[in-house]
Amino acid sequence: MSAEVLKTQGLCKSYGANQVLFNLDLAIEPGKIYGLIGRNGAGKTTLLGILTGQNTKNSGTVTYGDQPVWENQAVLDQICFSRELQPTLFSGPNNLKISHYLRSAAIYYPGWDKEYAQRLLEEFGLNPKKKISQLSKGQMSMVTILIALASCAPVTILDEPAAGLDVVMRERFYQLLLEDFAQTGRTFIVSTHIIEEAASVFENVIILDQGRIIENCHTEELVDQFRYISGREDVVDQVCRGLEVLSTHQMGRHKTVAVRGGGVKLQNALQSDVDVSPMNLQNVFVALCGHGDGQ
Amino acid sequence: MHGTLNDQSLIYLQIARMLEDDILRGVYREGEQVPSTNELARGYNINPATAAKGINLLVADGILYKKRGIGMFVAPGAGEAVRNKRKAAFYDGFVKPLVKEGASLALSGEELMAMVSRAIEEGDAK
Amino acid sequence: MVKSFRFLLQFAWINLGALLIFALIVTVGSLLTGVPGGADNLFSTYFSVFPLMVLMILYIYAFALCTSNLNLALSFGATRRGFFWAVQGICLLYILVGWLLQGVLAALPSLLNWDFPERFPMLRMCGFTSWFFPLMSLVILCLGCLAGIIFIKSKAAGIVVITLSGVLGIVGMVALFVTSSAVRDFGTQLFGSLPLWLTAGAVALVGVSEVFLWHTIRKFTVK
Repeated sequence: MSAEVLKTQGLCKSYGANQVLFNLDLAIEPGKIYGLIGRNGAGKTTLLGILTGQNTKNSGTVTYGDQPVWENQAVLDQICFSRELQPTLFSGPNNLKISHYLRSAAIYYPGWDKEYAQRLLEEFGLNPKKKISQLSKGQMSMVTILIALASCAPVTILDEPAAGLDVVMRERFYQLLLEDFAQTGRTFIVSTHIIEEAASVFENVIILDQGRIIENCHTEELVDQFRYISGREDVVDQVCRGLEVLSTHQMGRHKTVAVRGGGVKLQNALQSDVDVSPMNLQNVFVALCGHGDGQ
Repeated sequence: MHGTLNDQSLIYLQIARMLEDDILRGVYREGEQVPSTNELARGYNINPATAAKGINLLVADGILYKKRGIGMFVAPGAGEAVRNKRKAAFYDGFVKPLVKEGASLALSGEELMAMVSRAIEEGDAK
Repeated sequence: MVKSFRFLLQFAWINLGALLIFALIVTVGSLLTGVPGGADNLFSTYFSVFPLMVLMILYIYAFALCTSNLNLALSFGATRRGFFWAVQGICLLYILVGWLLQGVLAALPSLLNWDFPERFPMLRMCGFTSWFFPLMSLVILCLGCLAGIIFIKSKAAGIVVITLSGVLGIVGMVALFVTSSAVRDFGTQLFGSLPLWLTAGAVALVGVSEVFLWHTIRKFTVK
């Protein structure tokens, strides 16, 4: 089975009376690196769990190449969902050894690359005999990354892979991810909190806010729609007429607004005595999902 | 390492601009091969698709061309093409901001011109 | 299913090894401490209740079978259906090994001409001559799996199932000892009057717990 589209339509999920995903439509095209970003509790892990048939849904369809994902081994063989490891399992500490995890991964992932896994094990300096409960948060992240990369699954999903890693290891992770992608062109979905560092890695970005997908498009195209406009408040206000204002920050008569809009409207802004500067993905995310807290 | 990339403009535009600068400086001469999409992606830790977009921009502008199975090469007359492209953008990109800044400093037209002349002389003297 | 079976086998063979070692210790200990000659000590006690010990051990193994293993297997992309059938396969393995071990131990007193073979009524009841042991193993394993998976969903409900299993186990054992005078003919009485209710009850219990297990696994979500 060559790489196919992982798609969900009309996806809804509730925990009891509490609805967490609202009618989501999402299509993951093969051969791209997707970033899934959202605040804590936005529903990222829930969404990914449902896309991979590991969690149940209330309504909607989840398909891979038009085949249902749920309980479909042929489809599940193509997908790897590498979640954050838990230091404790249901009853007590997680006493499984890293070697156990790797052997299990080798059993379940048809494409498992043993040599690749070994190289990563050595590079990360992980001792396979160590138990998960004995690992630091950073080491647990490294195991997650190792399994995801060595699985060689056509669709590989990583949930918060950079959590717990220091900045040097994070850079190395992005490098490894890009190297793998350059070689194999497989589909990656990476959910992360650490937005700006990862922005240049994501070809497409999906923004999940309070259970709804508010953006799903090419990263640079999205970012290019936004600008900061700052200057004297009356000039700024005049310039912003006709533009979608997302957030405002004021210090005395100095006003900075985050706006969305482009083309002619922005050109006019450039004529006036205001500073127009680009926003990066993190700025865009905060403007869209900040909901005015902390303003 | 993002190297010299910043967040002041879109990455693919920066990639294109860096390659253009290198062509102007003679880092890549006409007929020579430029780094591949994957090399650029690796060098700057960016998505290969972004690097490809920057390169395709230059191909569309006739500054680079593709040799099938081998890679991307600097087109004949690329240096000239880059200069023309930049000349067209020079007015909006450099002159208008200069005038705008001058205006905000309440510099007169003559004072601005005088400064420009002085800068040209200093440049010639080197 | 094959993948999940191989996955569970990683842990199962360790458990089976432990069971084997336990059997070996009890046997060798008995041989060395004069049990064949009629000695009444720790080893003779363990030797005589060996089937019960195996059942208790199997219960513990089953309890752990569908908890973190299920979570892990699903997180690696296993199907719930495949996992369910793999569990059945592992249980079959446990039953076969348990049956073999207690059968061997049951045959030892007569094979090696031990004194007073009637010291071991429970072993005589089991052995290889009747379906009693495999049936009880099946019941115990089903209840164990169910107890485990329910326990992680709700500690309260789990404790209820565990208590229920314990009560049923005791009731079953007591009923059998009450009819111990007919122990020797147990093999022919399997479809007779008293043991019939035991067989029917056991089969019904297995049926119900398997259905419950199937449904619980089907609805399981990965943490």
